[in-house]
Amino acid sequence: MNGAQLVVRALEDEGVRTVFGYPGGAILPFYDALHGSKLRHVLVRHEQGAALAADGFARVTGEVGVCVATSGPGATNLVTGIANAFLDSVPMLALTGQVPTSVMGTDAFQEVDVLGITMPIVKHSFLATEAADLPYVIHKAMRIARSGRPGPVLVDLPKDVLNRVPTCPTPFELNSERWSRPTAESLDGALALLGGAKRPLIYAGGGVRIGKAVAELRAFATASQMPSVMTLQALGAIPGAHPLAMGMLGMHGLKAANFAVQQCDLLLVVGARFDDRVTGVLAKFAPNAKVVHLDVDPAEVGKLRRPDVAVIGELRHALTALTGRRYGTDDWRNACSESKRAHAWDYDMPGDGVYAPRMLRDLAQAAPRDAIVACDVGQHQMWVAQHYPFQHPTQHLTSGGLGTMGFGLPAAIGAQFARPGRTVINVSGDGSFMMNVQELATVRRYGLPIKMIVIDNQCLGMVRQWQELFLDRRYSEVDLSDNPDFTRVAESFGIPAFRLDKGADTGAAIERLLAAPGPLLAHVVIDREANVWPFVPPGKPNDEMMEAPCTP
Amino acid sequence: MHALILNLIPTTGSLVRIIGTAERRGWEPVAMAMTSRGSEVELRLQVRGTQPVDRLVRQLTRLLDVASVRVEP
Repeated sequence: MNGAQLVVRALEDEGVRTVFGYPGGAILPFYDALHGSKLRHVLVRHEQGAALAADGFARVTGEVGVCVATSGPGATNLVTGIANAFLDSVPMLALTGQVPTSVMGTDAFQEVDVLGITMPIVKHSFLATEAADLPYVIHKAMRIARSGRPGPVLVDLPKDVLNRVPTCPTPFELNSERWSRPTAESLDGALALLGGAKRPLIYAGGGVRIGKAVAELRAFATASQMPSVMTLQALGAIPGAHPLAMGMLGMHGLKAANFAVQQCDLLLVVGARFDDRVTGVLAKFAPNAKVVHLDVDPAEVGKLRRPDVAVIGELRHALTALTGRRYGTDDWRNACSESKRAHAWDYDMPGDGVYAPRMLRDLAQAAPRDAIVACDVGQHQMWVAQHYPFQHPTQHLTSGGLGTMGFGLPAAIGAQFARPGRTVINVSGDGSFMMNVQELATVRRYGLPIKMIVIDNQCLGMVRQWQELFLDRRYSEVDLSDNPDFTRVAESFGIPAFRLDKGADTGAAIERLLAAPGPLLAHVVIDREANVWPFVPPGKPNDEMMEAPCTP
Repeated sequence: MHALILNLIPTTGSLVRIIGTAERRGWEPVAMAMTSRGSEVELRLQVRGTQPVDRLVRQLTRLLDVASVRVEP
């Protein structure tokens, strides 16, 4: 077997069955080795689509998503997808072709130092120089990608290394995992603070999904009767219908959630990282609270806020050890559920047009409970987070850390390959949709029954909103009124599409979309001036939220 | 100013990874020296910065090329 066949064999041995990629010169030996292998290769139309599809696949399955590209531009096109996976802690293996070792460093055709380019955005990376080492490198890379706090791992594969036939692969043994269970001392410290708190609050983050700790979090929340707030990545960890689930916190969070954070006297941080979109002004975030921080990654603890107690280890172990008692007072519980009732969403908007929040709420009511919803970045992304009540965090695919416009469609493709029997919906904006529109060809090629919603306000809505609110309406380069006709774009790819522009037709449109046996695109026209509310302005604490001017 | 002693596994990019991590996390490298010790390399790295040094130690410990990090007293 040559190096490329050893790579394919190692991936098969790891249980990998689907890889997303795009061929090219330096990676040719790998594509040749695919013949007769167990790997199903999904040909995308741009390498960024491969990386983001692998990301979507990984978020849904919890397994490592694998993407492949050639050297040079193929590798650099993966970069945004790798960064996306890094910032949201998604397990990913990126395989890149490289020019032969004999010409590396000579600025050869399609040569770039992808190892150097990606260094700040990978959990780890390898340059394979010996074909005999390839089984070890692939197994090690997969292990690193999924263990502890997951992340992307890049393996750069020079063409001659892939072609070489080693006499025998180097034998290897993989060390045991690096991460440990939380210490008894740290758990005792957490229990003492929880026991003494009057107004304790759970602040759950993406780590709950990534660490597969959803069941343990729910058990803890039920036993402790503590109210909870969730980040964008944790939505669904505790379903929104629960009276003490206060919903999303942060810049576009629910008022009740942000008020609860500002009033609590103990914040139990579960796999979250005090992101600036969550905290607003960090110094004024949860100003009265002691902090207990649960995380698998020691580097997260104290990065932005010093905890009073740090519990380092797998979240499910930590949560189980803390489960059993009830914490906090009934007065606090009552205040939280009353605040949640008082600040409930108002869907009663005047006008004949489509009101996106109401449409997304109606979509959630009509869609199967386990539907997977991918989205892009911008206003529609926040509306999905606010108004689509998720039952589980693996249903919600959203680019949180990097905020990658163009994420939605490829992520939905990855999700549909991971879960062929499930309804997969992609909610996009007119700006984001155009960033990976070429992947409509992938949807068509594989007959993926993805339901696509393009919410079109003829502009870059989130940027427009900032310019309106903070730059005296000096609109700069946000107009997209020359968008193509999205229904005709879809149809030219062989995908049926229709247009929705009247609020009264929303129900029928949703029904049509969900009933379609194959892919279908709904082009949804909304008011250009629609904004996302509420909104914590930059430089303000979370309890100073701006609200829609027409809201009483 | 802090002096860090790192034991690292010398692979392609390990040195750049370490220095880059320190710089991106807000530290200025001011002096460094390397010594080979069998299969590992000892790197003495002096850095200047305003943040608590334990934060940098945790960031460096997280790197897969780094076997150990300690702060020289």
